[in-house]
Amino acid sequence: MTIHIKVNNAMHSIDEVHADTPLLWYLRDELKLTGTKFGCGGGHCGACTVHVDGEQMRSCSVKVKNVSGRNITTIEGLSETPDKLHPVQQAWLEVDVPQCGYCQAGQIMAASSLLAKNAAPSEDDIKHNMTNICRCGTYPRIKKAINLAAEYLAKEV
Amino acid sequence: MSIKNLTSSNIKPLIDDNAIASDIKNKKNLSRRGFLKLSSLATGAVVFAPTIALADKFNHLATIDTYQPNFFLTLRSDGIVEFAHTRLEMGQTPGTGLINIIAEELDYPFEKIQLKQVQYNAMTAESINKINGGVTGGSRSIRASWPIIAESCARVRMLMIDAAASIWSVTADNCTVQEGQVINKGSGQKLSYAQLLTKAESTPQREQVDVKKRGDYQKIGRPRSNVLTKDIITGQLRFNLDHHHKDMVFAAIARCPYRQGDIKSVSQASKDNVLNMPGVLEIIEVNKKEFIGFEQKSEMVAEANVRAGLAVIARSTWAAFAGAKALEIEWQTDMEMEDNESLMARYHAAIEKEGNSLFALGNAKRHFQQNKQQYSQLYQVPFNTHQYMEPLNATAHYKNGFLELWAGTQCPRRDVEAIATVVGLAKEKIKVNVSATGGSFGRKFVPDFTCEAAYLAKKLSTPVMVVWTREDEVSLGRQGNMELQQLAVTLSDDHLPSAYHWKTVQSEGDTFWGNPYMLHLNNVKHELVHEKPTLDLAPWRAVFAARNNLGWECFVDELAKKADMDPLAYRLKLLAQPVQYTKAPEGLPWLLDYAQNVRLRYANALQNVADRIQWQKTRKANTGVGIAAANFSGTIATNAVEIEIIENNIRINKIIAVVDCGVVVNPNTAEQQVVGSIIWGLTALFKQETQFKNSQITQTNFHDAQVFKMHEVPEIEVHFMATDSGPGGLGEPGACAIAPAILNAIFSITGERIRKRPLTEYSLVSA
Repeated sequence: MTIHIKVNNAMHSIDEVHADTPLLWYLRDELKLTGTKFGCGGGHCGACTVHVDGEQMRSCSVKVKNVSGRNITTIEGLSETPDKLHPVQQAWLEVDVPQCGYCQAGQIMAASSLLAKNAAPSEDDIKHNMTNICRCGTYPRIKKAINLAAEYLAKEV
Repeated sequence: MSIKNLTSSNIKPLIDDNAIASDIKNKKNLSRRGFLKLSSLATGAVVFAPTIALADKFNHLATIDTYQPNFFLTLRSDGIVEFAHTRLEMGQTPGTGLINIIAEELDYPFEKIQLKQVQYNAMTAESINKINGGVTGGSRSIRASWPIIAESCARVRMLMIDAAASIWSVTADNCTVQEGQVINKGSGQKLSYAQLLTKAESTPQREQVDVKKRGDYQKIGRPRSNVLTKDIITGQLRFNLDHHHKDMVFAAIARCPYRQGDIKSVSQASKDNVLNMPGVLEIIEVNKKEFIGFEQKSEMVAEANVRAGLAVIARSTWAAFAGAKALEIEWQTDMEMEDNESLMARYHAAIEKEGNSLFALGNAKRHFQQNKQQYSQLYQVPFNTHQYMEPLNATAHYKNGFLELWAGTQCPRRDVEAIATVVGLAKEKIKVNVSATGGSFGRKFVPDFTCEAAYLAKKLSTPVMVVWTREDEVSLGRQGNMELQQLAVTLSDDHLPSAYHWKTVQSEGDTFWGNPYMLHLNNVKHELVHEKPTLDLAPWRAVFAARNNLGWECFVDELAKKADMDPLAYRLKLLAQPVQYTKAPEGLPWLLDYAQNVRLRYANALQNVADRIQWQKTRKANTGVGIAAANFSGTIATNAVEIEIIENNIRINKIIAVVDCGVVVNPNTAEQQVVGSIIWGLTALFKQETQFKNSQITQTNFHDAQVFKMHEVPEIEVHFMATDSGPGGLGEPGACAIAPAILNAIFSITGERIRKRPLTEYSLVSA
């Protein structure tokens, strides 16, 4: 059985030897898409968050064979074109969210997935959906950036 | 400060602070001394080997593409200025702050200055050690580099003026500088620095230059975004874990779970199984007996304390992880078996012992013998792990007798020393590439993870990256120190302390005894008792201040209660007491000035933060306020909190921080640091306690070693005081006052005094 996944609009055929490898490590070590980070390996911290068919997923906790045929987006493919930032990235830049920055790709993927489903999240929606860990303590700015991104998205429509 | 003498145990900002503290009152002195010490460095060509080589080369060039007038700056003909960055980017954004200082002193567009991380190697080590001890830590990156970088930039600014003046045949007085251009005041002609490179290269540098005065700053104090932000949010910033090298292999290590111990036996079947796993290449024993320096009981080997274990070498990270997990190893140790309770019991016994005297003045003992009015309490904090987001990892490549290392390390100098001792290489043969890292908070100061990579690299011909799993991080984690402290005072009739005795028990390492509330007393005694270490340690954000302040700030609240006074009013009364000694005690020439200064700054900041939370306001039942201050890295950081208690739940309505760090270089990142530090302190108060049993940590990952998530974070408001002190650091001080402020607020509501963290009596409810 050959596994096929689409990552950032490029098709990849995957050797069966990698079938049980977590998606995270296939992205990082094989495809060299290192924007997706390893934080805990147990689905707790969200540093490895990617989109699978538009839904946020913690890539450390899903095997490659279980996303066969699915459409995966990583931080490198979030914006439509390389020279244009996604509105969530734009908001992150404006608010200057990151400190060390390690968790931020995961935070951005989680936030963009939230906003795709809920264009105007309440304070509670944000708190309950954003469960990614940041040890530098950027949470207040993340919240601010999500609200700003919601404004950007509202203007886009 | 002798940088040579910095070791892990005294790498505290203490030494630096003391030196600076003595000159706080007279900034001129501070600058002069700073320059005397550093000016030979700043002139560049004299000291810096790389500069000598470059300067030599320039003599043969008619026109030049780049000009490196000193260690820090390379001016390119395309107008970009490269800044030689010698600090680690791990979240505190020192590079952005230093670029802002360069933009100010060089008078150059901020956007055209780029960070260029300097490799730590035989050519650069001496210079880097002189600049910063080869360390990023102690919240000193900006404050300690500032004088030398400012002078280097001012020198270049003057050089450009002189070069242009010479071209225009006018005096320097007739020229001015703006955003990288020298302007001829008379004719209006302009020449950019880039246009002046060739001329500047042959223009002599002045003996004496003036850096800008605080009142003249145009850029320092202007908010700047972290220069790395765009790369971070697009996934382009390469952290150490993201650097792939040609033919690189990966290593995961099954390590001994004890601080001291070794492999007893390994199941051959499990080894065979692992060797048959796809992607696995080989298994290498990490055998401490092979370490050069092991038999001689080298201090560096002991300090790095690389754990014994089996390393699985594989083609991918995942294969290495899976292999290491599948190994079945029995471990042995002759350590005493301790758990949280037994170790704390041992600390309680040890607090009765006579400790090493840290500082004593007068005759505190006699006061305690003669004065019936006494008060004494014990405060305790547990071991804490760091739980930064990027797990430890390091890559090493041994080739042609040289070892090259890539790591997100806080101290390449110690990496080189440790690697030289562990694997037996001359220091000159080791090169360290410092990569951005996903948080450290003190942990990546310890060179164990870099030694592991070097050890394996020497046995392999390819580059090897050692990666720790989160389980490795938590269950083998190095700890912020556990502490039990005893505070005791004798009291005079006005309820103020007349003598003070402080004793602390911790497993090893240093501390700082200078409790600002007691610094005026001339009958004091401070002692440190070391107990046998059970877990490995590493510096932990704000090191001693994060521990000591819990006791200092709650104890002063207790004294206020005994005096039947408002906690703020009592603090201010105590801080207004004159220092009782008139000249600095022997061996501590800085103490008198320091005591006066820190007490004044405390009083001002506490009053400020209290006003902002409306301290005196009548509040509804079950709602109360608490206050606390901290002093670290030259910065006073205070917190006032308002909380509400509903049964066994706490709701934090508001946290206000007032910070006196003197000059704020970059208000944007300064605010980030204070907010982040407060969340760090809240996490320690409400969540963190390393659990261990049989001298092994029993937690494994974020589910059982929890940290704060977004829904738990209350409203935090940060203010900076404009003062003429400092500059103080900002990466750590904000973490120290929040826990005592909250415990004090709890007391104001319940009358119940909690003397420890973590806080297990109450749960935090979402704000």
